[in-house]
Amino acid sequence: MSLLNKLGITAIGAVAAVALAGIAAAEEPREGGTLIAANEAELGELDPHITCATSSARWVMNHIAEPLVQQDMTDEGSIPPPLIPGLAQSWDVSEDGKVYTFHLQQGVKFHDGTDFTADDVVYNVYRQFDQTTVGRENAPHFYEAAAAAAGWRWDIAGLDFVEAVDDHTVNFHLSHPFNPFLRMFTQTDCGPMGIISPESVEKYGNDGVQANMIGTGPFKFIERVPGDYMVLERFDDYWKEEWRALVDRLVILVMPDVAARQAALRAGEAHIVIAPDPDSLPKLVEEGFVISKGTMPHIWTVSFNEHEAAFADERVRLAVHHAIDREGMANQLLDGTALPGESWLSRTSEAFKEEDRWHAYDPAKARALLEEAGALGTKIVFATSTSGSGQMQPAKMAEWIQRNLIDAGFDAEIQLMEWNAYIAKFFEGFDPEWSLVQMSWGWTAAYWLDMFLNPGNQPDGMMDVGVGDAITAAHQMTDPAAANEAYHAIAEQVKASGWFMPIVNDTAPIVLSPCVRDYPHVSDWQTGFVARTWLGDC
Amino acid sequence: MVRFLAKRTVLALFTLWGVTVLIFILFQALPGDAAISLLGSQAGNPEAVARMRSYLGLDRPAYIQYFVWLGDLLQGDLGQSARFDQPVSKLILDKALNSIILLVGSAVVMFSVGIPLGIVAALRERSLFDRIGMGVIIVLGMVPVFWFGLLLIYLFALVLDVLPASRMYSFHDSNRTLSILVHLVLPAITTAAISITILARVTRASLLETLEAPFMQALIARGIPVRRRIWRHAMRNILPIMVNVSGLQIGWLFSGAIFTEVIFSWPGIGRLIYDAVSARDVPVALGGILVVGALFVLANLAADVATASLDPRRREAM
Repeated sequence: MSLLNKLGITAIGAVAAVALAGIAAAEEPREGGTLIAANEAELGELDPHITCATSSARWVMNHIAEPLVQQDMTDEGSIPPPLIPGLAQSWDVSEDGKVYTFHLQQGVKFHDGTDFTADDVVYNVYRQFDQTTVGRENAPHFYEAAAAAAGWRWDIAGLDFVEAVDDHTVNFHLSHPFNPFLRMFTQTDCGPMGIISPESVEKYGNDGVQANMIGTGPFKFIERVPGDYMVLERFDDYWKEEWRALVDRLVILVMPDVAARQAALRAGEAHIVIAPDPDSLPKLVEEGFVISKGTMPHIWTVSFNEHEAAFADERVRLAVHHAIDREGMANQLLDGTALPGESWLSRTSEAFKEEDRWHAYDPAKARALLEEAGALGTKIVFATSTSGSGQMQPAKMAEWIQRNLIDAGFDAEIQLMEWNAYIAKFFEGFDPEWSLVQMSWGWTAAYWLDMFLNPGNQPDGMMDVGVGDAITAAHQMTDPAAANEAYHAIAEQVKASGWFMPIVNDTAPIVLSPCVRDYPHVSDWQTGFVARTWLGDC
Repeated sequence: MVRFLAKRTVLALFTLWGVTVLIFILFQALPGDAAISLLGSQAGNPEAVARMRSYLGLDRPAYIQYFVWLGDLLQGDLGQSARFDQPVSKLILDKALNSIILLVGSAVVMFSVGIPLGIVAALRERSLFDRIGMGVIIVLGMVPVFWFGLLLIYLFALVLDVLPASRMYSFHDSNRTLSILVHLVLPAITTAAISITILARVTRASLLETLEAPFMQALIARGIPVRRRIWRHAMRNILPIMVNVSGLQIGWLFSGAIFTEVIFSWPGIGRLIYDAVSARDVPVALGGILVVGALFVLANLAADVATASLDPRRREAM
């Protein structure tokens, strides 16, 4: 048991949080100052319609380009965060679930001073949506790169067309019902759905948005130096008083080296450290820093290669499930910064149930199954990357799994590859040598299930467990409760198949300086929203 | 000399061109491309990948992509970064300037510590200073740059709290130039560490060898004062060697600075190239490598010219 677990990180965090809450209770939120966050990666493309980078969505898009529907990014308690009005103040859904009518906020201004209207929504959608797929000509400002990154959202939702009914009303017409539609506006994966100023696109061109991103959010873009930092500044004419930024400036530093990030925190050069080293958390807590973590959509997954001959026997697959100690990995190896994976659904999904449990860790049972199948000593090659977005600590975690598999009677090897090479090989089709293939992802919206389970999205080697039609049918249910039951049943079917395995869920720990107040670690990828965070005494 | 310079320049241009061909071929051999890297979760969506490849021009045959890049280069255009939608030349210029600041700082540390240390150790051969100095140098030469940098951060930024831990300047400082100078100290020492050891040892060995040469004995016999013997005759003899070694070390400082750039989050060209290779941002990687290669060639050319001007025998050989 690690020191962190002995001490109980949650308890420490809670004590520190209570102490800080005590200080905060005595203090009124105050305005001003520069909040500095040290991020582990480059901030990605600065165009909401082309970026696929989580860092960009979390730290930049959330603050600058707002969608029609939001999650409450200040609500730490709810899993998932509740849907609340964004640039749409309310919405109606037709009975057949195919027309969404959004009534827009009035008096909203873009950072360039122009007014936000229904035409701007249409303009933004037609920048990304390839209308030739539904037999119409594209808009003059249609952007191929945006269609590549964000087009999948409109495809999966079955968008037919979008129309401005009047200055403050927009209708989205879908070709079929799509019940995750509203949640989709809040999801930060490829092509986050923030609205940008059409005037800025016309002025600077599609390619110029990155250097001149103009939205309606609580912060406006000031400067970016690639590989170094980005500066956002409070937008004084922001329309939503409750989310008006408290700090004057938000600076996001790009610091890939974890030791450098933590040194900057200790030296007072940064207030927030993203992706700290789990091993150093107990020491940081001792030094007075605060650890913030939460429930995330993230799943560190393993797919079983369908071409691996040994996996044709269900008992061998089941042996792998019983052999891997997910709880030990989460609590010991990762120092409590992860939770054991219990479902193929994200923990933040409305379809996930607290009582969901995966196959229990039972190495004796795993060995017995292998003996029964006459497969003791079966060679397993575990493939993963050396690092990468959301990959946590892949080498260490692979070694843990290797040891578990050997203990259960397998002959296990690890293959590590550089992230971009690995992701290319993953999606182009599994290497025939790979037996267990790792990847991490996950979204709150249930269309996460499409990513690896829908046959149309599966690389060669990933098993079609026959749930593609069930997923599509669940998406098209108009009753959300029934849809959630259907998604849950699909996840149970995935578990029963034995071809996929959730290993752990990251809790995305973040280290805060004691000066930081009201940092909301919400239960989704939008955990970097700091408009209501402020700097107190420390 | 002019002929020599022309020959070396042509050779350098061919070398740099060869490097770009090699790098381009290596990129083609690597799995993954900029489209896959940009698309993240949608990298498994064939339609999205095809669209992005078409947008980035990656759907054209590799040799056409290369010649388009080369054609643009000959017109002074290094292309556009796929990730940042910025001209590569701007990205490289900014980062190269930051690297040059680090390089100059490191060179100052290297010369001001390495050469005096070597001279004093040679003049006091086998003294306590020589033994301790050379002992420290040997240890310093064996220490990994990464570890040494972290040690300096721990000591000077965290324990003593006298120097900043990372980055090129602080957002809290009003005087940007002063802030850069203060932030430069630890990265410059870290980058220069190994070069100091080499320069000090070469200086010491060369000076010792020269001091024992017959012409030095002749100078003693002629009653030339010791100060004049050393500074006017011995040092002048070892200058060409030191210039040559320094030229090589400056090249090393440039490439070795990538470790420092990572540890200290110094936004230099080494990190830019590393990130570009990781993200398969080929124009940025090619442009960056070209600039670093050109600077390396220039440093060595400058060292050759300096050596020739100091050593008449070398001048004749050219």
